[in-house]
Amino acid sequence: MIQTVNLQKLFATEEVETTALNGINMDVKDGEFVAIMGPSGCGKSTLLNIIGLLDNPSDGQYNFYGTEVSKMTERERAQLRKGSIGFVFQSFNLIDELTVYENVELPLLYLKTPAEERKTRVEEALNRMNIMHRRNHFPQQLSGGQQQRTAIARAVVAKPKLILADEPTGNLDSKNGEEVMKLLGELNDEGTTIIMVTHSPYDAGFAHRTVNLFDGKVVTENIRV
Amino acid sequence: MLTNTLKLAWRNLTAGGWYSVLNVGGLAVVLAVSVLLLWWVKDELTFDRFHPAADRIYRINSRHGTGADEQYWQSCPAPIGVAAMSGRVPGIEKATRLAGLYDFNSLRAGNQTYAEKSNDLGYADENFLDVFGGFRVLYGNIAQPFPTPNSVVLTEAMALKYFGTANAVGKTLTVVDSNRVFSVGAVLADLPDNSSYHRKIIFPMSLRKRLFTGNGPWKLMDDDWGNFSFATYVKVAPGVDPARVAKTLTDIQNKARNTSEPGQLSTYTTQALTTLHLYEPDGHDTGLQQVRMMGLIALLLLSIGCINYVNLTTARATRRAREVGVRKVVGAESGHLMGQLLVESLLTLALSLVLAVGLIQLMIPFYRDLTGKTLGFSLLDPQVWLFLVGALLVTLLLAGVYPALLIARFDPIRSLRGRGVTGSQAGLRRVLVVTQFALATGLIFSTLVIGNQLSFLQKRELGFNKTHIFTIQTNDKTEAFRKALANESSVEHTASATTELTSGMGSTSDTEWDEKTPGRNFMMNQMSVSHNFVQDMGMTLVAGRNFREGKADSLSFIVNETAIRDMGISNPIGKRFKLHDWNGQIIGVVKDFVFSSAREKVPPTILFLRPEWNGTLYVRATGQNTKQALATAERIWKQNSPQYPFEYRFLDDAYDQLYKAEQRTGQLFRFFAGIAILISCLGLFGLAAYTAEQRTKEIGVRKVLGASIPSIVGLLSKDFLTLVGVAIVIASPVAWWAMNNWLHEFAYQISIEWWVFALAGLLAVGIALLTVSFQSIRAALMDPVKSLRSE
Repeated sequence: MIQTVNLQKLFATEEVETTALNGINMDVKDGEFVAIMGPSGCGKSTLLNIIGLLDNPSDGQYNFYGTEVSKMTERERAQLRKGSIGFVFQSFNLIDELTVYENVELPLLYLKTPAEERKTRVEEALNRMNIMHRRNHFPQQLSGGQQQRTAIARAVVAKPKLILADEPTGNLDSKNGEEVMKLLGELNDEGTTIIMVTHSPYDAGFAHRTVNLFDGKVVTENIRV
Repeated sequence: MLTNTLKLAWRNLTAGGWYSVLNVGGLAVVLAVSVLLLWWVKDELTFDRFHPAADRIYRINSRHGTGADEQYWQSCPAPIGVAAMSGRVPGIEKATRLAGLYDFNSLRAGNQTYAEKSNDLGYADENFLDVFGGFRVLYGNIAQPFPTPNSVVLTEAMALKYFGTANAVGKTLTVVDSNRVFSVGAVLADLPDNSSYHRKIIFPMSLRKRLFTGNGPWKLMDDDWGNFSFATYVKVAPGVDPARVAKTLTDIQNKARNTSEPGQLSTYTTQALTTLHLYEPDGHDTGLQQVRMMGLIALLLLSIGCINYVNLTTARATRRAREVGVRKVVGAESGHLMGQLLVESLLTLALSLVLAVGLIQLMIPFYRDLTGKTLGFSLLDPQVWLFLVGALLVTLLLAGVYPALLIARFDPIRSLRGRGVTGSQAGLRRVLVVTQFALATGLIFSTLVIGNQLSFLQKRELGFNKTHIFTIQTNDKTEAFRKALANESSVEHTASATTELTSGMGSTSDTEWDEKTPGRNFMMNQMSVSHNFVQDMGMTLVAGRNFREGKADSLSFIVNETAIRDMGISNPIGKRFKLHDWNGQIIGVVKDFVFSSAREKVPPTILFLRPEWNGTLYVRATGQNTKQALATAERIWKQNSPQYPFEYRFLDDAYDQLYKAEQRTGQLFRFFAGIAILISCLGLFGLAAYTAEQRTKEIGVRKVLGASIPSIVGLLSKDFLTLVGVAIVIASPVAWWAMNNWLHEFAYQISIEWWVFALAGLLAVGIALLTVSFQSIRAALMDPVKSLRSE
């Protein structure tokens, strides 16, 4: 269960102060699929970073599965993040020097999962994403769709409670985009909570609920019926 | 996890391309040179410490003269050793004497005759092995290395040379001069490189005693207080103050010698065995200065290498920012990342070290040439490993930790956008580049100054003409030999003297002259010459006349200008002068001529005629026919002394030897400056590449807006050149100060001129410009469309 209360985020340089988030109140229930939409610069990614424990809000509260995290240090956030959140990015963010298998294995290494179990879970994730046959390839040898499937495999391999996706189809053609959205839908059907930032109304259609942001504020919410 | 980390480190290294090559190559070069230098420093600092009681062994030095005339010698007369060995001096446990051997140098083993260098021959008291304790005896008895008066001790190499076996005890060697036969009493393991005693054929002191023919009033060697040619070593009991021992020995001398003139008596001091190699008898740390300099250069080079590594790694960190971000997002903590980056550094360093070991193997012949050391640098030696691993860890600490800390602390959100490095790191890189180039400029500057001083020394007016002269040791056959050669057409002049000029004349304080201040006592060099020596060597008389042939001038003296100045004689010609018991007069003053290293001033020198002392023949060949002159000399030698090999030495070579230390310093500096510049340039090259890469978009925009290629090259080069400029400003005064100190070691020196600064600066700027412009031009030529798209 995720809850934010009056979340604020300011970015200040010597000359200008920009308000990225201006009093966001948002609840996400376990097993929900939420899409966040809005024009460029409205604060979508900033919100996702805070929800993903990559950044702290300037003000307000953020309750992450029963823990107040808004004042945590980077170290504490890293501890909490590990294993409980999976990330999927528009630009895949795979590590070029690692193979598909090794990229997917990475979260389990940091969780100190025993080797035998690691192997089982990585293979399971790769099979599930239909990328097993490419396990020994490096990211630059794959198509965009394959890269994103690898990234999703990496996001799910540690069986996180929450998956955060930042425009996951932004760099893909429609066929591959459709496939990725179906995978996310399946994961959600199995109980994983998903929060996705997107520009695409079609992708947002996969979510239960769409939150629309404008200038750092929630302006409307649509619930799919 | 570790295998994963290693695997990734390896992939990162191989994916790094030229960046990895620069990093590994640069580190390998500095590691190799630094390890070699530090190995040399270690060797120098451990001299003579292999003797088990080294800290209780002292050499007795003697002090002569007072005030400005004071001199320290590393030797004392034989009776001092006798007193030390008598057991009557409190505090001395044991004592022994060592001496050089100049009585013969030709030895016969079987049918083969060998002419040995006098440096390899020596005399020693029977207990010398026991006193030192650290010379390893392979065969024979340590307590009795000379079982009979006709015994000789050899090192293993000599035993092998003469007899083909190390176990040579009982085998015989014949001294060619006297036909006396000696049997080998003991064989020593070859003396270690870091032994200051290095004679290889050692005869018993009793032989020296037998060959002694008397010196003035003294009829026995052990009574002779006038001959300072014995090195006396004492082993004191634990806790004994060596100064008290020296005082007792001085008292013993004063009691034994009843001379009314206090200036005639020496006082004795002690010098610890472990300081002999690096300190002069007067306590001056000449050797240690060189060791410090080399140690410092090793550290400087290592710093330059580390700076390179830090610069290249942190510059490249930008490229890795995204990777670091991703890792953090999927669960890596700073500790994980630190660990991974340190493993990468360690891998790079380990690879560099392997390469460095290879380089060291390649450099060993060069090292041997330069240092004259055999260098026990074997990978089987655990000490070598200690050194290599030590160098690795120090480098890791200096160069690996900072980039790892920096990169591991990247903010994940910024990193995911490909931005990791903030302004302060760029600032640090600037500081590092300045440091690196300041060191390189300093070395260039020093190299130029050393080069100038060397060429000044080599072109210095010697006060005589040394061209086409070779010398031959003719001992008692000088005159016969000279006569035989004098009429040869290939020979221009022949002259003779006691020794060859650069090999050191004897010196004495046994002198008297008119106007001498009572009690004044200082050492003057003395050399017997043939009557034509001054004239035919091309020396200049500034007053008086030359010697005349025959006996008429046997009590006449020619002295040099320094001697006149030091003695304080006005109008010297015709003044009374007494040397030993020869009461005569000064007939001429010769312009100072150089026969010692440029570090020393020309000493006061007396020339006189004593033909029976003249054991060295000087032959000046006519310029066209030096080869023929040598062939003739050899032919005549073989007729007169067929049992000895013919040996000669050109005076030109002998004078070159005087500057060998300086030439070596010059050579080393050229080498180190080269390495420093090379490594600094590697670093600059890498940095320039990254700067160009980072500014790709800016370059694209500028080009779209109409910037010309030269303006972009200028833009990119300007920053670096400013840094190099700052480096020059910092380095110049420091280098000037250091070099000025170095020059003060010389009695004759250049002054550092402004153009040396200018040239060093220009060279540094030029080299930097060349390095940077390659990258700048490449960046400037890039297609702007591509540059913009890459953003």
